Amino acid sequence: MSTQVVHWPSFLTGSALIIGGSTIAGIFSFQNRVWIVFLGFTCFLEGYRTAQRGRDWLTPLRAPLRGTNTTKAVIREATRLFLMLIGVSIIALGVTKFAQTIIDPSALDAAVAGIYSIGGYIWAHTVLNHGLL
Amino acid sequence: MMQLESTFAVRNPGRFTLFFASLTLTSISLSSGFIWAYQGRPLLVFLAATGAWAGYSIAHYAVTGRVIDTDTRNSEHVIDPDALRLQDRWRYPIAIAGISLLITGMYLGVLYIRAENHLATNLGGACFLGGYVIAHYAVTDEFL
Repeated sequence: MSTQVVHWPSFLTGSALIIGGSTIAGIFSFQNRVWIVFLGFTCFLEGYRTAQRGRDWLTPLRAPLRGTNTTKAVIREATRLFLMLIGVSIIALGVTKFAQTIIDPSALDAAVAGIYSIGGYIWAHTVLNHGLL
Repeated sequence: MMQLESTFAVRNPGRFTLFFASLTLTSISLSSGFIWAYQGRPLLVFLAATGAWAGYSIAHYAVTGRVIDTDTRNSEHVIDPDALRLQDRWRYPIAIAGISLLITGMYLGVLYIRAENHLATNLGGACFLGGYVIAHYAVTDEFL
């Protein structure tokens, strides 16, 4: 079992964004305001990236620059960010659907909400962490 | 090697207790958090979100030795094709079973959050998190 030296300022900053973002997403999903839920989960994603990368979050191209040139790295990171935001959009739709299903129950809508939520999560996670889960 | 790491966590009672206790905190927080969000109580939702993230991070540490996954971006591809495949065929049905359990947890959540039943919503929370752990293990050999 490997252990990790945590860069606590980054982890705590990221955690604050994660907690704030999920609070916003949770509250506004019940008001059916998908765009605000999307912003909440975007905040969550940025918090996760901040917590994950430690000091590197201030220099986002440092890791992807290894063994390649700047232009390629910028294009790759911009593409990655775009794809992650698509994943976040799907999650936002899924969680909003989940909340709306609680207000107005439907077995079909609950299944759709589950598939959207986990599908968006797998999409975003694959782009962010290079693994399905 | 990764399988041995997870096995170690299971065989280490302290780590396993920490894993179980912190995921329980996550389930309680998620369950009550959704009920409070349904009731429109933002401060309590914030408290629940704090508990859920703290529980998840501690559970992650208990089974991996890391509070969060490290940055594993590939410097050549946006998406590494290898990341989309599982190592063995047997992993696919286990992963699908885990995801199905997770979605079942959401379905149970719909029923019990609507009833504003904090205790019963944890049945959904347990299925949701248990399903996630099963699917994650099938994909990565680690529980979280």
